[in-house]
Amino acid sequence: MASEFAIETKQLCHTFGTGAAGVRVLHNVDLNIKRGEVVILMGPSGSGKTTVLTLVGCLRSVQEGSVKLLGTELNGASDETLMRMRHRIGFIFQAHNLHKSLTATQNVQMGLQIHGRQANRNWREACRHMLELVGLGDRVDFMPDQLSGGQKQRVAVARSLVGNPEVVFADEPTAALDKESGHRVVSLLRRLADERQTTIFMVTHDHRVLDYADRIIKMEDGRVVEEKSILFPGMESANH
Amino acid sequence: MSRIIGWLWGRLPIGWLQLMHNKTRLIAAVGGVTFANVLIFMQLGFMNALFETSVFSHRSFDADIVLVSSDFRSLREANPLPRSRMYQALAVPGVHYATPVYIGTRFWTDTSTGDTTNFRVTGVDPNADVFDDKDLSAKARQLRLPDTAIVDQRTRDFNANIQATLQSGRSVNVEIGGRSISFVSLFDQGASFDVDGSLIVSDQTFFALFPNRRPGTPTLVLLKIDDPSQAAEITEHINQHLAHGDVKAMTKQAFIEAEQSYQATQTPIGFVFGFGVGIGIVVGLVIVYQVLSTDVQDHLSEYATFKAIGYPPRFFFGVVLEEALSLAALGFIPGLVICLVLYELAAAKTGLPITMPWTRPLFVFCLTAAMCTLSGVIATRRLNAADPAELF
Ligand SMILES: Nc1ncnc2c1ncn2[C@@H]1O[C@H](COP(=O)(O)OP(=O)(O)OP(=O)(O)O)[C@@H](O)[C@H]1O
Ligand SMILES: [Mg+2]
Repeated sequence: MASEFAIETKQLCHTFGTGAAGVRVLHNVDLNIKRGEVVILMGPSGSGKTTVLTLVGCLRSVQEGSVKLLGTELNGASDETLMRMRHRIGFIFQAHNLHKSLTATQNVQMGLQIHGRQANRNWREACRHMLELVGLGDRVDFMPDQLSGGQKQRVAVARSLVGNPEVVFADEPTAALDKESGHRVVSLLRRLADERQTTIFMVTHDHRVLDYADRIIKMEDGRVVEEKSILFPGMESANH
Repeated sequence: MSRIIGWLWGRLPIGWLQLMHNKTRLIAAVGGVTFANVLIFMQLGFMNALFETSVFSHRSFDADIVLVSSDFRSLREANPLPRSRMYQALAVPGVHYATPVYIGTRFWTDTSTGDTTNFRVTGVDPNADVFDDKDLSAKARQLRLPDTAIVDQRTRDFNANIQATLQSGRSVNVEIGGRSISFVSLFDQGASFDVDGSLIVSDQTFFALFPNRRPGTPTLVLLKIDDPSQAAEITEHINQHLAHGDVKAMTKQAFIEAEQSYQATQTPIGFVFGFGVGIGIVVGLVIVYQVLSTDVQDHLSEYATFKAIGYPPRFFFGVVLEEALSLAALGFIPGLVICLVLYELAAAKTGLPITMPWTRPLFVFCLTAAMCTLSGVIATRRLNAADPAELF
């Protein structure tokens, strides 16, 4: 592939609102995240973490500066390009946003179906397998209303991973989870990074999962203030 | 059901599943569509009855070409024309037969019940071949006796005693316009919006009933030609030949269409029905739009998630369209059934031919589908404009 970086931002700025009412929430953010790297983004509430994630994850139009995702420039990209990039990434949201009229399996299927009929051949097995990986093998035909908050969150994780994304963005994926399922989800992400070179870019406040990361980036007031590499990711929690 | 749609679409039938998930909303929406359908069907039924009944008389004549006064708009208010034009038209090559017809309306009050009936009175030469229906032309021979009439058995609220007496072969004496008239036979035509029924009388009886009408001024002249396929050309020749400008010739079909167009565009009743159809469409549009846009609103964050996954705008339009067409179909079926029942009731009550031609359900369904689709288009506009991050 062209670039060794999955995510590259240069001088990324973002302003909410226009004119005098405009509030600049990101100031010249530079990030370089390699393929297969697990990076955690931390920082106080309102520091701009979600904004960074949505900009890099093709969910918000880039205003100023450069964002390269998998080698494609997102600033000024067409709707068509953004849509194609979205097919290649997975997003785990702060809110799970499951579709209430669909079963757990069907919700996961929505993540697979985007890849066309070909990918849908063995969708039933693929979806079930993914649900088993997040520990919901016994809940495949439940409606979202019949699942707990944490279970819903795990269905959403399965949905974003089922299409084999090249990059996974996760916004506080463990917030609604107990310790055990939190670890299960994050170690699953870690495994994807190790086995398939999937890049993981995750926002979290959860100190229990920090040591799964290769690198931790701290933000404050829309600026990157600290970067810290971890030598043996996953070791500490493996001893728990 | 969802299996079938899913297989057809090549994706999960989200629209359908979404509709089925909220049963209360589904019932309200289907009820709204049904109501709009009933409204549209009823208006179309009445409008069609208006068109059909207004040309009952026109259709009954055996003619290829009809001569009318040049300002003809509707049979009800047709001015008479000079009979000399009939002879001039006969001189046009290809025309081999002509007969005058006199038309007027008269009230008749049934002394036994006190009911008043508004009759269209058609005066014909009893020896002539006036009607398509050969039995009726044969019955018209009885009208050689003065002051006799053949009466429409489907006259609105027709006195059953009179009908029974006539059916048993005896005649019934009544008084119409101060004259004693004898009903001698029945024929079958039907009521319309402007008259309750029809009487056929001889030309002589007609003049007796309408003292101010003169033999020289028929309302219509029926013409027959040697080769009916040349009706259009010969009509043209007659119009050139009769250059006085006081009459015009029309093919029978044009004559029928002129009356229907007059009923549709120039009468208040035609306007009322057209308006009713419009209201039905608006009601349907508003209800379906309301339902679809609330539904889109309720699922905005789910849709935003799908958009974030990479689903294109046409996917969302597809989902809403799926809902719209499901609503159209679910509302259409009860609407059709209710209307078939109402048609029966209305036909029995009014004596009007309110029937359901097979093309009408097709037309109304297409209309409903179009109306639902339009609502769907409007409902998804907001969704397509926004960045996914702004929709959560
Ligand atoms: N849609 C928006 N319109 C206006 N301002 C916004 C919008 N979204 C976020 N902001 C502002 O931008 C700033 C950064 O928000 P952001 O959501 O990125 O913070 P965060 O780091 O994710 O916080 P948290 O940890 O609470 O989720 C905040 O000051 C917030 O008020
Ligand atoms: Mg946030």
